[in-house]
Amino acid sequence: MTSPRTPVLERGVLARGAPALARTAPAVICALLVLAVSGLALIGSETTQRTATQMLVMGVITVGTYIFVGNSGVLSFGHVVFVAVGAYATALTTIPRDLKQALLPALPGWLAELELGLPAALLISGLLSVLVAGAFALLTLRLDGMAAGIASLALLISVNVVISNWDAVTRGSQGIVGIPADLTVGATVPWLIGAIAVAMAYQLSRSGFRLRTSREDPVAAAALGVRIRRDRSIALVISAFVCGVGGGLYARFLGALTPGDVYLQLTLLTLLMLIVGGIRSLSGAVVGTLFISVLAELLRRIEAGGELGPIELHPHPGVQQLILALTLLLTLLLRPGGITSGRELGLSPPGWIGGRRRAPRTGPAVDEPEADEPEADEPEADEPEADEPEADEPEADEPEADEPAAHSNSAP
Amino acid sequence: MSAVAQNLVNALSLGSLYALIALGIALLFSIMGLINFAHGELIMIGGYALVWFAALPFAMTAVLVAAVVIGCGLAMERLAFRSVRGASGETLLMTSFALSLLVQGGVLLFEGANPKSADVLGSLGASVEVAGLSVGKLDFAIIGVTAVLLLGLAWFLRATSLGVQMRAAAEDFRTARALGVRADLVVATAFGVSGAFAAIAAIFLVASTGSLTPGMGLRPVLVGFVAIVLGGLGRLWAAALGAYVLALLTVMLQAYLPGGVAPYQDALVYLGIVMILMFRPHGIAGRPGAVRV
Repeated sequence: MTSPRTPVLERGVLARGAPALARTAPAVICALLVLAVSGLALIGSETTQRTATQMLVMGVITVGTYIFVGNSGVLSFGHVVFVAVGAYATALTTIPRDLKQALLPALPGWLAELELGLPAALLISGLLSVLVAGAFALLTLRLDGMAAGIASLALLISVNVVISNWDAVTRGSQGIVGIPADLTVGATVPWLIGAIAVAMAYQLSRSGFRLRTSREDPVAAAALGVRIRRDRSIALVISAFVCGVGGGLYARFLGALTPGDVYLQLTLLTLLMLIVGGIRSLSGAVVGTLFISVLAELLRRIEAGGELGPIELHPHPGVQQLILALTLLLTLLLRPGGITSGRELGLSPPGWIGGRRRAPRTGPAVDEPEADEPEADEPEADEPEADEPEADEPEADEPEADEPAAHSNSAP
Repeated sequence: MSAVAQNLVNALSLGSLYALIALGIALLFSIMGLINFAHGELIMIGGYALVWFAALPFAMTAVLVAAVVIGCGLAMERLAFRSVRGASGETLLMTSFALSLLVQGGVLLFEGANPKSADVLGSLGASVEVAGLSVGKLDFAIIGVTAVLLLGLAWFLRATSLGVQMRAAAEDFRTARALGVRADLVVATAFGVSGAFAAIAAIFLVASTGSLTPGMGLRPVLVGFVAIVLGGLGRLWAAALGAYVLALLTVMLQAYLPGGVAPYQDALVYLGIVMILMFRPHGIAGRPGAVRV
């Protein structure tokens, strides 16, 4: 365990060369968090379990989107395209043969005969999404900022129009029914943990570091020799694969798939989770998914009326949307970095706890127009694990402790 | 020949409506870099306000609708956008997304999700023959009112002190402030004008579709974005140009696409936009901005 003394610490993401366990700690903690919440849900009623399954599926999609958006800092409204491709691919390859031939008589023969298991179907979903991501990369990665956002939105709309009208394959706006809706909490958890592992692996790869460099300052990164478009393409492909798998799971969760299921609403929900959680860290994506899922489920129950404990409620359609929108708005106004403020949950090496650095200002949804919040003591920082396995390497990151860095930038 | 002329008239009318919407969004974008997704919700509120005040004479209804929409626009500015002024475009965009969802949720809560029908400007339903073309009276109204508004806006921006300040702010917000332009006043005026455009767009939109839903703001706002991006970011006349080009593209595709491809018309329009952006990332008439270091 002789780590070279690389002092670069990126608010939680330890440098290449830091002890492996410390580097992957955010992923491990996120996975444990997911396991804990899923375990709790298993005790609950059938409705609760279904909600938990939905939360896990959303988690795969959110983490998939994060891989590109979080690392590159480019806001994308197009990731639901990959979810849509994955969802329809899984739907078409896992519906029972007889039902498929009755539903979609115009399918080409080989596809009509095909009936795969879930893992194979999800793999195909992911790979198809990667193909689509290639086209996507060609069309949008030349663009920056707002033009990129609008272009990805335009692609989402185009794909949705195609899905809504391609009767022979997607049954148009009628949608596909009869997808085996057998997804359980236990069957979904491994996929989310897998997605977290992929995201972590990318985050710790050279390409991930280069991409985050370009997120902080594209001009400086390019001057340092980072080929931004190439690294964005790599992230997009990985991101698309995970989103495609998430889409496949989503189809299996829903059981019936219409074009509206994979359109703007899902896009907004994904972005809501990312921004409220903290779009600049993997932990943010996971925490956001858990937080918003639980909140949305509570609100759904309030909206539907009935009894919530001792309180009797009348149905109020619109409440869920209202409160979720308010959550997003308040996050943007009061805590622009989201719950995690761009940090990772993790094992903080001693000597670093006091020297936390502020989030830099650029990037999606993380500007801090007001003075920064006094948040020196984030509870994660003092997790008891902090001095377990790495106790023998306490000094590795010491030089970082009094980094004067980011305190100089205050927004006007 | 007359078919082509008829299509051109239709495109002119549609383009005028698009231009009204696009200008409302472009005005805010040029001054504070905000892509206002909630603009669609202003149009939606305008639509509902039309129904609330439908019993009054039309002129009063129009004034009240404009007052409600402008009031909502100013409230959005004061309560939300002022706090994030100067943040990155993405933050502003997401803030407007949140506002849009918020307003939609509110309307959903009080008005319900079911579509409502609205009969506005029913007297303009007929069409008249002009040089062998049949043109709806409503089309005349849209084209005429938009032309007047465009000219009025151009006059306002060139001839009044406030308009000149707005143009200065659009050029370089920081320098303009340093030279004594009052940021709050300029931004509030921009929201006010934008709201007025939204109100007028709402009246024409509801008059031509006749129905209202809480989600009705989405399509206009998308059209507005596309028109702006197509024309060129940051220039008002380019946004209007983009709107007319988009309308022309839409109408021509509708008229001349073969039957089998016709359902995919929107997909082609939006793909075309991605293509235009690929080769002209700053829009047809846009100018590349300087790289900020």
